[in-house]
Amino acid sequence: MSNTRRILKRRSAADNIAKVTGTMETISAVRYRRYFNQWQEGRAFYDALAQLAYLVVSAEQPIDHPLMKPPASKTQAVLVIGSDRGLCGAYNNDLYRQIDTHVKMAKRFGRELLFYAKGRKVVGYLEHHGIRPVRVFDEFAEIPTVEQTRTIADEFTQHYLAGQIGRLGVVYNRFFSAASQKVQTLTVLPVAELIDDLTTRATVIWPWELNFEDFMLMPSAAEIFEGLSRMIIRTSILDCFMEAAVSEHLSRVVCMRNATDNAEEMIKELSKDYNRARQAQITVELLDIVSGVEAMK
Amino acid sequence: MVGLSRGKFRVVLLTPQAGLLDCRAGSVVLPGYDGYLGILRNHCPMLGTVSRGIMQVREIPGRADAFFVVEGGFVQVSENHVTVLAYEATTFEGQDEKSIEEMLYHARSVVAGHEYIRSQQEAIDYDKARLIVRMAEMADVKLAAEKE
Repeated sequence: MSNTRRILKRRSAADNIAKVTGTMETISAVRYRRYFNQWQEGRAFYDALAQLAYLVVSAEQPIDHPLMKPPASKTQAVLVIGSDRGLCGAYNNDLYRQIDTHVKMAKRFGRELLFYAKGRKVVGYLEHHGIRPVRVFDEFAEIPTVEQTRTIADEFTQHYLAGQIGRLGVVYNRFFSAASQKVQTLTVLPVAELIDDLTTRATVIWPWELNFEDFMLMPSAAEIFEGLSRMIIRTSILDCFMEAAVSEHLSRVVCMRNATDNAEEMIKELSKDYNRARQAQITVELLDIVSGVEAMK
Repeated sequence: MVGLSRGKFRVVLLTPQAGLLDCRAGSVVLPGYDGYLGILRNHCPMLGTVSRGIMQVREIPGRADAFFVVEGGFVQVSENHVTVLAYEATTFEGQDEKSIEEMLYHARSVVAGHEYIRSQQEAIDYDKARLIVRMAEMADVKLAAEKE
């Protein structure tokens, strides 16, 4: 009797788990779809931006701008974008490994690190290792609004121009495709490196016959560069948040689907066990009755 | 000269969230660095900043003119391609009647000074509200109550 009851209890526990993971899968699948569509819609923008950036930096007369100067400080800011919740597989663990790499590299090259964090999991990890993040971005759930992105980007740019930081790296799960996401660090500041990265990672190779010199410029070249670099910084940071969110939800969908499948398999096994145990119990009871009857004869 | 600038050219409006427009048009007016700027076919190659304002795309074959409130960005004109990169754009295009109504109603009440308290997400500032109202006038969009 106790055996069957125990099996039933385990089965109902597995049932509950399957229900929870199934629901989480559905929620994340919906969000993933939404963010993925947004991300895909935005691709054309980044390609056009990369094209523009390439055009500006390939000008014959190099642009003299404070943002293009080599960094004045050895301090490196690292913005880590993780998730608030767990249950998304290796999503956060890969980020932790990247954080460790940064810490080791900083020690090796004598750089000072300033951590900026997004996501409770990341904050927890940093604090566990005795690192206090300079700022935690918790004013938005997953993706900052245009205004919020501006504040974040302007803050970093100001620190860079003031010489308080020499580099800004964003550690996030880059979304390559539905089949591949990888943690990587995108160097946002100095801008030259970001432009370098952006132009080489753009998805189209454009035929380009015009030079920068052929264009009529609406404000001066320096002002255009100023605006353009700010736009690149802002939208790159926004894109990092976006890709991190897409990767997180995809990762959770995959994970939760596996968990649901496993739970269902377990339910099946437990049902079989339960039936067997019940059958055994009935047999025992029957034997009892039969032997009782035999004894009465 | 007039003949040279007649005809259509390609206009693309992109934001990080979406590609909002990709069509051929006869003329584009957009808020440039120091005032509004008109672009016709065979405009010389140009790179410029776009400030906040209303972008008008006119003479689109087979449909009505399109209007957008753009939040700053860049414009690149070359070889009869106008590419506008904006941080954000607000438009009536492709939206259902109900959300257009809501947007316009909200913008008007902000302009009229009624909306001091709003949740942060919905909040739009006064200048933007004015631009939306102006855009509605240009696009001839009205509230249902005014249509009769």
